[in-house]
Amino acid sequence: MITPDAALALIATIKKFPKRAVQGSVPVAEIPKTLLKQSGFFDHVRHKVDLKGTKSGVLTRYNSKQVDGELAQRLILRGTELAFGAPTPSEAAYCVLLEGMQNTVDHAHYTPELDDEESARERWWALVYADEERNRVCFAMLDTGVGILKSARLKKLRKLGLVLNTASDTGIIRDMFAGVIQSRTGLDNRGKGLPAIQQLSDAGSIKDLTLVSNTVCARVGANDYASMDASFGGTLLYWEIEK
Amino acid sequence: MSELYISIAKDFTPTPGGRYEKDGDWSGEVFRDTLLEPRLKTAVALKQKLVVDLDGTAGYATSFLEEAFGGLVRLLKTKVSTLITIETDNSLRKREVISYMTDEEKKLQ
Repeated sequence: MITPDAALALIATIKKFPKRAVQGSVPVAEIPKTLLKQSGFFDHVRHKVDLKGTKSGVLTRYNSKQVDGELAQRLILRGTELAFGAPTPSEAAYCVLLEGMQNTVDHAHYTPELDDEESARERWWALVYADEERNRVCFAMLDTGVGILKSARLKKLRKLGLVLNTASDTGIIRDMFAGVIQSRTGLDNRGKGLPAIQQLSDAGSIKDLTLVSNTVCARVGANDYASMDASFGGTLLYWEIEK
Repeated sequence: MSELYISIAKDFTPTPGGRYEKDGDWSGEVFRDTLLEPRLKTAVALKQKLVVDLDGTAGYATSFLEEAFGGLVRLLKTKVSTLITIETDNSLRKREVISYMTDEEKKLQ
């Protein structure tokens, strides 16, 4: 089973290390094959077989040093056009996309040990995918940085004692979404993005909100914060909107 | 376009960006420095309130609004929430923006 966010994570991982050749075969099963074709995945890799098909999605990569509202709006209008038949603005989707972009800008890290300057510069990736069967537009945003739990801001909060070293990773992410850590700092005018996204989820403006960062997979909409055995490098945000 | 009224969608951009100018186009910092602060000064000189209309944009990042309105208090080091009227159909957003100003004002004391 492959989902739009997994396709995004896969292509970002392949592209992060351009000098390391990654090879694979096209899935035989029709559902994952169609999803990869329609998401735009194959626009980013070399392939020998004919993979042309009706596009239901757009998969894009951008320089991390940009919060680009015009681009966010283009992605939303494209996705809603494909899913709903007409370009339809979504303030909620716009908010989440911009919060994701700002998060990447704020926590972008240069990783000089990578092969070259191009791959060392952190990027963010965005995917919009029209799930026509479910009549929903799926969004995924990924940065390949250090992840929330290893960010410089969280390290600073730990130093100040505002995040206890004994706190669990899932507890920290839950508190960040709830705005608990931000309000604990008192003087901090940052960290309002995740609580704003949680509010949109609580209000039903976005569906199936999920965040994966470091060792945490948070299905925020379902109030399910789980630990993962393997650490995920970076931060992946996934959400859907419906007509 | 009145000197005492700003529509962010019409007078600035329909697609607001992030916090700082270095983060990309149409940031909260640029909005504050090029439009909000100059218009507020005009309003104060005329002993009027400045009206800021938030509606009509594609949406907002919290960082844009915080830097524009909370950042205005940090910049001017004075209370501004009583000088600005926020207009929007979104009551949550209105409260959010007012809190950005009042939170910073509390730090002035």
